[in-house]
Amino acid sequence: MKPFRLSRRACLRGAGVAIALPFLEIMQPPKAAAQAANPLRFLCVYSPNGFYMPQWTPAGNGGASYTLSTLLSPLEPYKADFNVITGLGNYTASISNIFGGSHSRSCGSLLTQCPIASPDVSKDIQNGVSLDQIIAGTVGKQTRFASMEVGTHASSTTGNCEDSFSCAYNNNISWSGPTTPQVKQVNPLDIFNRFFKDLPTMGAPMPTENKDALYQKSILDVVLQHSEALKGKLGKTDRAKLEEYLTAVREVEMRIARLVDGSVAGHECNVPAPPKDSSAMTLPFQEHLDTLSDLIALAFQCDITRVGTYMFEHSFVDTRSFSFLPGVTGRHHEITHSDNASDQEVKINTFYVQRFAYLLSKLKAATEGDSSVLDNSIVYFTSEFGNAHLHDMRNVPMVVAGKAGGKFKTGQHIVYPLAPGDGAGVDGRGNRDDVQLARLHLTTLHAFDMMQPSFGHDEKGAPMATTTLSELSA
Amino acid sequence: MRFPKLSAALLATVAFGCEGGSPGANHGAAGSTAAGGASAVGGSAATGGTGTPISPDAVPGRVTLRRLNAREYDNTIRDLVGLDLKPSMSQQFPADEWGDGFDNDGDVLTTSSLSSEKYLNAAQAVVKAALADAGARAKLITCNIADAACPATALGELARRAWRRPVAADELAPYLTLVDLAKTKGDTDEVGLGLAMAAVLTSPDFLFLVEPDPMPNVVRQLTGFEQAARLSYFLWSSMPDEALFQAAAQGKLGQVAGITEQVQRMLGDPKASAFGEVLVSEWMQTVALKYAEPNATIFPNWKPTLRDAMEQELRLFLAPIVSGAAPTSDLLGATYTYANQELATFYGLPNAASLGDQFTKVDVDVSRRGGVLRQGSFLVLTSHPDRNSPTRRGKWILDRLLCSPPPPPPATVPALDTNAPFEGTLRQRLEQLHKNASTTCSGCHAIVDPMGFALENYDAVGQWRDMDGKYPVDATGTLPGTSVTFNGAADVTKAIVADPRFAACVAKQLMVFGLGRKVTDADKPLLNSLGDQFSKNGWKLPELTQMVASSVPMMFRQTEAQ
Repeated sequence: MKPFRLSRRACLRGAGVAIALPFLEIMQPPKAAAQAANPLRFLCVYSPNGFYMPQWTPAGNGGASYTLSTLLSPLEPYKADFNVITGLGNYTASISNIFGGSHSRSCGSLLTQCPIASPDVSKDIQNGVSLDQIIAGTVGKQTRFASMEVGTHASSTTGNCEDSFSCAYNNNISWSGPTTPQVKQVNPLDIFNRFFKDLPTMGAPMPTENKDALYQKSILDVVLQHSEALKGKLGKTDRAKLEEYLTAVREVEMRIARLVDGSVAGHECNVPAPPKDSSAMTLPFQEHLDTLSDLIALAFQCDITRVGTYMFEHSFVDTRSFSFLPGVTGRHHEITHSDNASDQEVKINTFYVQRFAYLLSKLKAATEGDSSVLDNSIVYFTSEFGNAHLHDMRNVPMVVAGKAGGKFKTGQHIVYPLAPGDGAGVDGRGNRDDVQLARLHLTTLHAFDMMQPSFGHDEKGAPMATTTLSELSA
Repeated sequence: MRFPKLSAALLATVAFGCEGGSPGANHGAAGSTAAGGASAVGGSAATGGTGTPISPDAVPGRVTLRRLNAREYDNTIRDLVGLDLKPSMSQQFPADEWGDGFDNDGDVLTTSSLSSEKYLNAAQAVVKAALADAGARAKLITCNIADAACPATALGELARRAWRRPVAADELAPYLTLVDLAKTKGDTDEVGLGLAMAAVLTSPDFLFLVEPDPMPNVVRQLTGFEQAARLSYFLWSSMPDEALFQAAAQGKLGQVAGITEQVQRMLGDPKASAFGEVLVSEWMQTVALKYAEPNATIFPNWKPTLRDAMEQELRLFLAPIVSGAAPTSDLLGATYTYANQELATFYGLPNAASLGDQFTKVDVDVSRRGGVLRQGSFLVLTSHPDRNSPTRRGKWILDRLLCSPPPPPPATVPALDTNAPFEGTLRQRLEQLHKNASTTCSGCHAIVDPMGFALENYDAVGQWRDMDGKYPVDATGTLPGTSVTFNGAADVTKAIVADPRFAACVAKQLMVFGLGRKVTDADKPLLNSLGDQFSKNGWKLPELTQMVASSVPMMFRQTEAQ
């Protein structure tokens, strides 16, 4: 048994005060802890609708001595802790049989680097497995939860998706299977209850047996056993659908089994009071985002999970008004396609970069031994497009924060020149010869000692990446 | 053979029936029900609900194993245990994805580990709440828990209703081991039975509408119990009641007459409000209305309370159409609407002052109001915050009312630069822009925009206007691809009702929702035929609903190899 030893302390955020108080403070991990004291984490933070690239890309040809751009300036305090990468392409996003759906294709393929099935040629949903879920498949076995998927928006719920593409692509960057998006949790209280509520409290005697967990595991065992017979009666497509559910059940069953036998890891940490309930989505946007950042930092620090994806908002389906920002009237997607609103676009972009800066502050403040959680993480900050107005898939904005436990060199602006020639694909926005996002993903996998030979595939089945990005290696 | 496609169906049904229990005890019983229905189908599938022949080209298509969505889950739990617990809210189920305009498409309803965790927690919470409620407990446990046979009896009865089919005793054996487990851990039989009940509610037989494919690549008729579930989730978004189960067991749902009888009964049940609500929020897309934020500076008369008022107007307006008290052609051409004083005043209805807070049916000046295209809900949800959009309105009509959505716009279209100086109406500005742009733009806008231009008398919040800024509104035009001219909303709504695509589109929307799948080209002859009968027989929606419910795609299933 490697129990959590937790203490609870009040937090003003729980009482609704939206000021930046220390949400958590780490205690020294137990010396006796058998697991690696500083596990490696992965987090992808997605910001929707691209960025205004003229103010995003730092000037110059890259290197360690560069100046942050206007949009990236909120990240100045952490400049030594991240790399800005310019010139990464997402060619897979441009592979399509039909015009339209480019937000969906870019978002859906961001972490899978697989072509997204066009609605006229295939089943309703068809993608690949995303980077975070590949990592979670291995490192997730060591923690209470394999991964954490959060965001501020559950579903588009307008009845309208982009050009007949399923909203699943636009709403999810995390995919555990080609047809299985890892849907997000959006209510901070719901996330808190799921990840932190049942942790044993410091000082309380450890129960000799976790009967509730045993019962839950037994329920799922019975369901799995009974479902085997059902599987044999179904046609191919239905069986795949059932298998999707049974896989999900198995994942939960294994997770609970680890609680029953006490084989999960965990770090000592302080768990604050629960955050506010926002099931009706009533939290102000900034408070909502920052609370989610607090919860991610806490989950990483407590080693409840080591893998996460975090979607600030959805692209394309505009339901959030940004009129809370001075000088902005309207919605993000509409603004990116307006000819005379780059000032408003920059204001929205700046807001998002500031929220990412807040997240970095939390990860950096979470110390473990001589390092921080940020040092022992790989954190992407990215979007589905570069220039959103043009739906550019050739220069995807990318900040990679964290030293990957010492494996990554940080503090650089890495520039990959775009390949000569125009874009390809149905809308001419991708190019196979650009340095691909898939190479970054492969680099990340290798940092986790998952030495896959390649990452992603194109329309012909050829791998999107077989080599890593050496500039990142420490 | 008059119906070549159905001959395969008959063969398959007979074969399925002859094998008797071979598909397994659980579905075998239902299989023989289908066999019983086979001969009936030979005669009755040839006729629709009104006695008119169904198109001989009708093919059933394939429905993917459908998970209950949040609404269906909540309603099913309500009808199963008799408590309206709404677990999707209390347990915070992840949001369901939509496909083709509705939230019950089997292909896009996915399940992740988060969902399955929520289902487990919900099942346990539901059982706990039900056993703690004396009334609910008495219905769930009808025997004396101290009797050795009681857990099996109670569990069998729950499983029959939860899985919507007869359940064989041996299927429940693994579930009953949970009773023993609880005992070994020092808990009571009731705790153990609760675990078993939670397992029944976590089973895919509960969470999915299961339709097995015992033989590959044939068309088979649904079993009575499968048919009952399709009907109840179509009209109630919930599980079948005992009358439906009984009709299924008696083989009555294998015949068009039996289905028609049930549909009539079901539409009269209060639970059918779920069907009306789906038509309001999903077909008419008022689900998007809550995000509408008209600019208060430009539209000072706008009040956020109008959102709810407009949705309520549409809800009350659709109810008599759904019940058959009003013809579906009223959807566009009604001479009345429903309003309270706030909404009537906002619309400028003549008798607004006489109204109170309650919504009442009011007659309208047909040159200005009447039908959904002249109601606030549609007019607002298709507008930008600062201006109306003829393009969005035209696209909505093409998509939701004519089922002919335009192709997607190119990826790099600039938004309309409303700050750029232009003298004239919005319409003139759009027409000039599209004329000057490439044919990729103008070709589509020539199809999409005209019907939107006909509604130029309504601003972004749905108020009437004669002037667009300093310029008089021009609401004239010609319907694309026809020589039909119009001047204003009243003309264009008449033209839409007269378009055969409209009637077929209503049939399509019901079919997509009823089946939980997208329709394909193979379904089009059937939809055209249903639409034709629907419009010729007086636009009675209950009748169309019956025809859809007893159509080949709703009664048959195209099986797949395993």
